[in-house]
Amino acid sequence: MKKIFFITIFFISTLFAEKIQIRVVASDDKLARYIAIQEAASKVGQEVIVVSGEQIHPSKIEKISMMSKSLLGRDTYEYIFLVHTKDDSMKYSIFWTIDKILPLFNFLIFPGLLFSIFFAFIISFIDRKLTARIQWRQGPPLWQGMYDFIKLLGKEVLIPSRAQKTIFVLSPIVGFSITVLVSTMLWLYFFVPKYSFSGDIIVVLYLMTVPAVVYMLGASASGNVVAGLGVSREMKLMLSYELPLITAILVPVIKSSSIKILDIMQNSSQPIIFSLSGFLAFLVAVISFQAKIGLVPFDASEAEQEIAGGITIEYSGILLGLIKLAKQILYSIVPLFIIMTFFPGGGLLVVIKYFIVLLLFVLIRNTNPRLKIGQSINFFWKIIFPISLIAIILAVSGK
Amino acid sequence: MEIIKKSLLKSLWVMHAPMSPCNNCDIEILDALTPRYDLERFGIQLVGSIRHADVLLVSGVPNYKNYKKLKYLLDQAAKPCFVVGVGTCSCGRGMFKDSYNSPCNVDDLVKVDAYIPGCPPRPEAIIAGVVKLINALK
Repeated sequence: MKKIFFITIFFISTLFAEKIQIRVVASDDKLARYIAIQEAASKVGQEVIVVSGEQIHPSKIEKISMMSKSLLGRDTYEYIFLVHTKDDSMKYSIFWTIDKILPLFNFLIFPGLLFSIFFAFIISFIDRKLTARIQWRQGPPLWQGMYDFIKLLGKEVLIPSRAQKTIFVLSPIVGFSITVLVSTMLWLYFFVPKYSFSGDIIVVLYLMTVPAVVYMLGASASGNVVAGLGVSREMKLMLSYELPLITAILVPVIKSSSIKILDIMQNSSQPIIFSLSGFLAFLVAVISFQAKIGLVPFDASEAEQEIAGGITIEYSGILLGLIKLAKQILYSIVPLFIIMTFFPGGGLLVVIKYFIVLLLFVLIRNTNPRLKIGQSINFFWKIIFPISLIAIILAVSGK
Repeated sequence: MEIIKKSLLKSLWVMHAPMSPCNNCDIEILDALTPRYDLERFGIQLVGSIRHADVLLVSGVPNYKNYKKLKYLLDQAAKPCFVVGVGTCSCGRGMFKDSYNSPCNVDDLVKVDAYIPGCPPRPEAIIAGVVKLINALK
């Protein structure tokens, strides 16, 4: 009992353990940035994550002495340094803010695990209810996703005797945690855009690819023939949708000439979607994400009717619950990602934009029959990929 | 665990196990899932894999070719998994009782939790049977 108490206390204390990010606010000088970061690391005496700032060769600097430090506003400081280099000595003044972030709290509670799960339940309800209304049905109750998940927690977990057990059990867990990580990143950028770092759009796209790969590993480890069929289809589908998706996301990157989500969000006066290339890229991105989430026209890899769940066929209990939940979380953050890259901003209008994009997914899902895997490949390589190439050419030529 | 049981009753995933039926009950089972009756209101879904199922809907009379496979199928399900017999055939073999190709009843093979008689049972009867199963489990 005592042990559990101390473990709980330890866990809660780590939940609120702060890390400090130092952000150089106004200084374009490379040397000044370098000093700022060096000084910060030594002065704060804690773990410091370097957010911005470029390295210059430290051999140029002979001695740094701090002249004054003054508090300008909430968590914003002005530091004045005297820097002696080999040629001369210069005075630099640097402003920086100290952000206190709570990494575990962020990952586990607010924009992370708990929040993402509840948001995903709500979005999956909206999706299923809209589907039901389109099909002239009544539809499930509000917390149906939660009931399904809690029910699966209480079910037995079966591991096939012919399965490679470690990979079979680990793959849903890894896939789920990576989906939650992507969700945390995107929601954090949405609520606090300044957390964005250079290259994060590549990180997000890369992490979004990992769950599908991990599920393919797990399904092929199950030793089931039908699961193998699902894996083969998923692999072919992935080979066809990944390239158009990345080329479509390249259009906002070209337009804002930055691989940082914050820069893409704050890029221009007019949203990217209102240009011709942006519109084409938006269409390509929506269709590719449809395949990435595994919604109906492109769900040949887990078709219930023909291959009985495909890659999920051997999973039961909590492992199945994690796969389903990860899919719902991915479904709930994809519209957010599209909004952030293609038409950001707009205060409360974001809610309306989110639901327009979500509605697009639901409508495509409900008005199209399932494509055979060969048809999907043809569709992506012969129609969607050329469109995305045209979009890139237009974006480079400035349209 | 009260909450897990409550959730189980609110999201029963159904797998359909046809034991050489005449296709009559099968069509009525599918009818219960169509927009008119819409079993998704109660969280009931048709799933393709026995590993995902909470309820096994058995229709038809077991014959010599498949009667061992029903037990085998139920053994592969993640517990708890309930068995519901749909139609007169799976309740008591009906007119096929003395048939040359019928070795036994469904309930000689597995424990059946609910019987839905009728040849075929109407979708309303299937829904009523499922509701009775839920009430019995409470």
